Amino acid sequence: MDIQEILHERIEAYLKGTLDSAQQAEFERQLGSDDALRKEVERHRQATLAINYSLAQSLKDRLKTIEQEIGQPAKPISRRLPVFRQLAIAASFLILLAAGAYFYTQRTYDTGAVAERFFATTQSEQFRGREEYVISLGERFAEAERFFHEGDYEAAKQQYLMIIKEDSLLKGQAEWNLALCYYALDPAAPQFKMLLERILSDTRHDYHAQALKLQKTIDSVMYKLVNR
Amino acid sequence: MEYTSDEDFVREIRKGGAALERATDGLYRTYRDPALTKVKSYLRFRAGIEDDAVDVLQDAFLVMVDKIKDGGYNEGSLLHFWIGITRGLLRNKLKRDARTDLIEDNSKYDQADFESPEYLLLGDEKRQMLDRALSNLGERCKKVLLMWAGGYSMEEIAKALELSSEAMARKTKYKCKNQLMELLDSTDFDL
Repeated sequence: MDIQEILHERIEAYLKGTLDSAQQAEFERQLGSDDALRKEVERHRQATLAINYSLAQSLKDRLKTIEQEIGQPAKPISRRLPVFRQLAIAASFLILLAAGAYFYTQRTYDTGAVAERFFATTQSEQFRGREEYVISLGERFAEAERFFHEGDYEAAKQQYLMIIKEDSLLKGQAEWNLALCYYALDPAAPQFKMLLERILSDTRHDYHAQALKLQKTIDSVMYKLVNR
Repeated sequence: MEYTSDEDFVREIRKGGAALERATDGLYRTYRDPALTKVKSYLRFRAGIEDDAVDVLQDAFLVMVDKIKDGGYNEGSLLHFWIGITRGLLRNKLKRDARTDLIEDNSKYDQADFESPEYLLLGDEKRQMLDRALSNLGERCKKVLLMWAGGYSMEEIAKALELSSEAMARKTKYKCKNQLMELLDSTDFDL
């Protein structure tokens, strides 16, 4: 190793801070009086910086490769949008909300929807032990229900009128559904109002509670808004 | 090598050379997800900065490895140490960009005493100048110097470059470094 190489390694040791305290003091004393040495140390410092920079780039390249291997690009961070975009989104949301509320109320308080919601469907259990009715009355109820659900309230009304006339079995249910048929045909129809009034005034009627609920619905603000 | 604790990573990194490279890869894979998740939570989301999150996290990783090598890390969770450095880098970055919207809390992550290393502070122009100088150096010389700076022994360098001896490796490194200094002299590289 020639003298230049020895100096070279000494400078590197100084920059790394691996000289012992005596060697470092001696080296710094030389630096104070030797311009050429100071310049050489500076050259080494810059070369070290260049090498460290290159080393860092090399490690960073490896980290990028690992990122690709992991295959999970960083999850995008939610970003705070500009105020006007936030307002636009808020406005869109409100419009959607209003539209949703409108359709919901339409679907909930529309006359047909109310009638459908309060309609009393016949269950086969209701005919148990009364087989004589199953064929005639049961079929008539089924027919009436089919008409009602198809929106043919007039035909359903006729079926329920016949049921009421023929027998008292399930008369309460037939009356209730008849009232709903009148209602669906015309909520202002006097037949509907009369029938509803009768059921409301008869606390023992099978559909008294339902009648109260229907009356409450009809009296509600939303109902009046939708059906005004 | 299986790393079962932070001490394993630190020990292997301090060995330098190939052990350092393996340990840094393992360390990054181990803590990358929780570190990134935490770092994201520091950001109030502004356009631009979020795209840099992984980049800053990686810069912080380089700093952490340097600190581990140089004794700037003594004990404690490496994950927290990494997050603390990342936070310091982000804070510096936001200050440079005149942004002060980091969420301020005095968390345990702030333990890292932070100062960006020189190589991270280089401007684009100086980076380009260094890239040019390093590319003119030639791959063989560049490899010798990177291995030397990365903590590889002269014996390992000799073996990797198929040199006859450690002395030849030392001589090659000496020549390559001189060559680099001459290249930097010619580019007016000055900090």
